Amino acid sequence: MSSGKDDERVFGKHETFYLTDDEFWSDIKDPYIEKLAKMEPEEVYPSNNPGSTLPDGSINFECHCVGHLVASPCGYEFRQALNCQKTAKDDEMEEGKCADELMNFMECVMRTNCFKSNNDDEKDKDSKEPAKS
Amino acid sequence: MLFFPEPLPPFVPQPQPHPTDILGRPKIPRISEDHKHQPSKDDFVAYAGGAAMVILTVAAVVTYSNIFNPKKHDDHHKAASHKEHHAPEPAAPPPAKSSHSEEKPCCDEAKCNEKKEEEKPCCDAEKCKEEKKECKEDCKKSDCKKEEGKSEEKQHHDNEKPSTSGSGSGATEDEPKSSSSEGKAHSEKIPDHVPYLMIGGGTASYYAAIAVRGKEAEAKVLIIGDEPSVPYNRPPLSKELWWYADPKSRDTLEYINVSGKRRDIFLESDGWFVPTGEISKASHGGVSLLKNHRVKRIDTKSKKVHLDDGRTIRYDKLLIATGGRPRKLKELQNADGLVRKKIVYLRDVPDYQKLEDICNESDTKRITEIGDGLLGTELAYSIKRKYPKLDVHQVIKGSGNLPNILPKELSELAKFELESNGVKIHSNAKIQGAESGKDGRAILKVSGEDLESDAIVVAIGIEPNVKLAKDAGLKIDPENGGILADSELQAAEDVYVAGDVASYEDSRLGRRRAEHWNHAEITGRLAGANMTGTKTKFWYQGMFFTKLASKLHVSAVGQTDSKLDTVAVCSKESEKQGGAKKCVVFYKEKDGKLVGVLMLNMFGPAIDVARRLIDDKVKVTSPTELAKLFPLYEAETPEKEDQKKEEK
Repeated sequence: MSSGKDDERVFGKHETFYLTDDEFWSDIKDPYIEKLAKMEPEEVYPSNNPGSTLPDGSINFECHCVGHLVASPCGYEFRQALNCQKTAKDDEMEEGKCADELMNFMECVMRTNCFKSNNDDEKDKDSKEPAKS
Repeated sequence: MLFFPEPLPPFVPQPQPHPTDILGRPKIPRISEDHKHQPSKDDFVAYAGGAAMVILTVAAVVTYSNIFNPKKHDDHHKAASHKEHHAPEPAAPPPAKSSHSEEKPCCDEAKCNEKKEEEKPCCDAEKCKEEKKECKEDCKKSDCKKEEGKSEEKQHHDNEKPSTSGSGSGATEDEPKSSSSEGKAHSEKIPDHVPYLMIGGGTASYYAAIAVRGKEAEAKVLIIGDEPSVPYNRPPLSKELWWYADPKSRDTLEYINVSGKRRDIFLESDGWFVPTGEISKASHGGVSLLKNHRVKRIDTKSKKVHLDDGRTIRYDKLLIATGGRPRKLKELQNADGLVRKKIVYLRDVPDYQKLEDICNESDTKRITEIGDGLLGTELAYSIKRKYPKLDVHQVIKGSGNLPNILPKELSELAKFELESNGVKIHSNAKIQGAESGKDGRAILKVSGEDLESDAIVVAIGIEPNVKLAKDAGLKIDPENGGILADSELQAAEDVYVAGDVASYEDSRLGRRRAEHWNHAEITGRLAGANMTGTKTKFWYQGMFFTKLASKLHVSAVGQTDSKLDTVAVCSKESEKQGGAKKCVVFYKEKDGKLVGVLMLNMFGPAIDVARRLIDDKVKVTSPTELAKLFPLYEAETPEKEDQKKEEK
């Protein structure tokens, strides 16, 4: 909400149109609107969340999905563990590769008590919360 | 009243033991009685080994963590239990600190010198001298009262939850209404220097810190906030904590969200923040939070901030995200003390708790809300929804709600919907003042009518906290009152802004300032990234969502100012079937180009469609065609088609 002043409100010119169900589903005449209507939702507009993978296939730690882990006091250990897991092959993982990195991360989490434990699941910090003025 | 159904936690049936398996064969007993399968010596050795491992693991956990330490609980949990032992003090405002400031100066020079050396040993004689001088100056200015300082410090240690004693009626930008740190001993160590410093402990600073750490793995960030808790989401204070509360929500600040999951308002736990005394030495950095402190002065030349207790912190990059404070209603400024106790300006947790306490009192009958904007209207609905027996009144100055956003016709529809939900609205009303009644209630005088009220909730907008920036020599936007910044949210060399205070250049919509949660998140992230050297211009429009009545969900993006010319396209059938009115409203510039979109009772990914249309500078020449991109009607399903055929 832009700052509301105490002055009298002057409304702009307003028009209202009504659409019936049939009119709404009738063919779109405008080619630009038709193009948008046929697009997948994710194609319509880019997200400000850059996604979890960089073009070279490595992990994007700027992804909102890992934001609060990366920024936590154990963020560095989290990066080490995830990078190791990403590059390790399945058989290497079975042989115990990345165990040290994961233990370092877990040890940091227990030491700092940095993540909430009162919730019944992990919060998605980056989901769009309802906003208000 | 029609509400969204509140989902219950799912019922999961437990499997019952059965003597036969799925194919009807008798099940093999789980513990064999055959002596071949009895444990041998080797098994007992293995048991002993297993037990030893369990003991070692527990010992390691005890050694390396504070998991069994009873003091480890998060502040808000501790505070919740603390609250139970103390009688609530909902209405007692803290003594006005500033009024005593010049009467009882008590800082002495020797103590100042001593403290300065204790906290921050100086290696440079000149610098030390300069800092001592500043400390003395700050001491002179501060209102440190020994006794009060001691008790405040104790309170700070005992109860780090948002204070419940804030009156909400006396705070100004310079006078924090919650506990101030002025005059108390330094209770926590702080770094002398930090690469990333953020002023303001809200959403914008939190997301800026996230962005900085996303860019730089080992970055060190310090957030300074004047509230006693970790950063939290403000929207639930007028939404979820009223809609999805349980009996303990007032203290736990938890609620069950629409998916049936328990949430609290806090963005992180206390442990997520590196203690302020450790951030300098943290080998892999982190985000630190200095609570209960205000920055009194910014020196952009020497890149230093001065705290309210006289200490200073140097920075490399600075973020100013000081938010806003509720605008005061001048008609109530001279009201007597009793009336003032009944006034709530909802902005923070103590305000919410004060309002909850009033609503919960057995003799409370009427809550009067002043203000026609988003927060005021949302609160009127929320209070009525949670306390249907209360008489909830709303006083508005025009003919409808949200007149700054909605076109007149829809603004009046909003009023109608609220009234249908039981809120009594006084439109075209003029507030003449307030006085205390015989039974301790406040009497609000509205257009010649006396409204006896147990609480007067005032929500007439936000005043951005820009004094600090102004005093530092930064420019203030004369139009929107924010701190003037460029499209990268930079206000001066190494100084950035985000959230409510930011007046920034939007390449599509011009100079803007906005006060929404999503906007604080977006500008916070952008400012944080740009502080690390990324030079990204503002591009992603923030949206807002609210529910103002059972049939009134509003979501919008872009410039949604009712002064602009508007076109609404609405569905015809929805109303006929008793459903909520569905409309999409297009806001146009003078040349007819689309600058904002508002949706009434519509959901889904259409907000991104609106962002695209605004970016593409679409002309609103054929609004009924454009409206086909918004979910005015549900998609055709085979069942729906069959139903239609039958009708024909």
